[in-house]
Amino acid sequence: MASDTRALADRLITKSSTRAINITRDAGLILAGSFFVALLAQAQIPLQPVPVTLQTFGVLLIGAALGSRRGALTMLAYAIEGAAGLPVFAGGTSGIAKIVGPTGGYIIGFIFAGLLVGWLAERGWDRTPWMMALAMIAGNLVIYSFGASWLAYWLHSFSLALHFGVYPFLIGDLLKVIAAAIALPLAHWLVNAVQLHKGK
Amino acid sequence: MIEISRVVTIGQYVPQSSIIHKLDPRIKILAAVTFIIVASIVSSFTALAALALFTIVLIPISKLTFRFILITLRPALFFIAFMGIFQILFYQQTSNQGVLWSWWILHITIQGIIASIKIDIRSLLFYVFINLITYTTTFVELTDGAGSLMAPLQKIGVPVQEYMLTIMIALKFVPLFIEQLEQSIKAQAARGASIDKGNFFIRAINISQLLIPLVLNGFQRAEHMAVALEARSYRGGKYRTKYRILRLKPVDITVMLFFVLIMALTLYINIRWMI
Repeated sequence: MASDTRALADRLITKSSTRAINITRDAGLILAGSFFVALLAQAQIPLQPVPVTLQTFGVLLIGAALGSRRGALTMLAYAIEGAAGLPVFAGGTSGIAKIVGPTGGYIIGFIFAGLLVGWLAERGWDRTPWMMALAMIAGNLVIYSFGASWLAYWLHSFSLALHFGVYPFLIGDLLKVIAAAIALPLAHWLVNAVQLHKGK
Repeated sequence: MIEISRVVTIGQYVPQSSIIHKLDPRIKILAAVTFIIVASIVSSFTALAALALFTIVLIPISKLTFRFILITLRPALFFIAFMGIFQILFYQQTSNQGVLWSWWILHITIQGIIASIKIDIRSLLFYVFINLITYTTTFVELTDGAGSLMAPLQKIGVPVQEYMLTIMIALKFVPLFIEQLEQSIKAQAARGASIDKGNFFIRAINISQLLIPLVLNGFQRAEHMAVALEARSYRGGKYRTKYRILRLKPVDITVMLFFVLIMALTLYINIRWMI
């Protein structure tokens, strides 16, 4: 199994030889992924200016499960859905103001975090809990570097941005990292078990 | 939550026949990016005023009414007000001059109030300008424009066309997905479940009940769509030709030059009259 490092979605769905099927399946996965993130963003502890939600958990989980390409496209679709007025952002909000506004850096960061975590997952980082935890931490770093630096620009202060845009979330993030570090390797293990059972 | 499709309007396009509506979407996207960069850089009231004047002039040119723009601003006002108050309270002053009120780590200073007014003007400008672009450009035009702007990536091996098609299909499925989500919520509610009650964790678990039908349904639709694409002999890549081809017209180039001139002028004003 060492050579097979494909992302979870690619292991579950065999790539078709027809382009059309691959594209529409990817579209389906991307849309489902963006709705998944949107639903998780609604489970929130309200806090200003950036609420604590399961949103980042969804972003990183989707990135790892779908791989880099689809992971990034999912977050792009999510951002577009929000910009177009669907209530997909934290607390059922939407609008372009959320993307160009002070907290928009996080949403842009999601795209790159999805890309990075997916890329790492495609290299087999999602097979063991420790590596998965590392990939999650890397993804969180990407989200925070985009989110906090844009927030810092608006607040004219990096320390304030860290105070309001990073520190309040660290404990929650630790829990999310642990959850993902268990979930993805477990999912791969289940797929392995099923495939072994089928005699593949 | 249940009546999502009734409340939400997707896309913000306002059909009109103004010069801005007819502009090449690529120019509008580049203009929006430039505007955000310029509005972020400038720091003087004079330059912000110049940008504000430009934005205000654009509204009648786009054949939109000020009333409409003000109504659509309403949801952003709370946010902008919050940013302003936040900025005043947490402004990090560099000297002890101009302190009006001070308590614990909170200080109200003249500089803080000025910075906060600037932040508010800037966010209003961002919001109105980006909205103007989305009011005057259809979603299809925007994706066409973005795809065309990213086309050079194709040369380094990124299949931009295919990505754009994937995103397009995904976004076109959104209304169907919302319908499906509503059905699932209602079906679960009929069985006694509820997605917006209980604490954080209970809600998270309840949300997961909606995901499985959503994903399965998405796959079914994807298969149908694939059959439809196949039936129309989709092969992708270089075999694909475009129905709408973007070409720069003289009017596009004129508007672009004019826009660049105004942005350059704003930057000059910013340096010349530093207030």
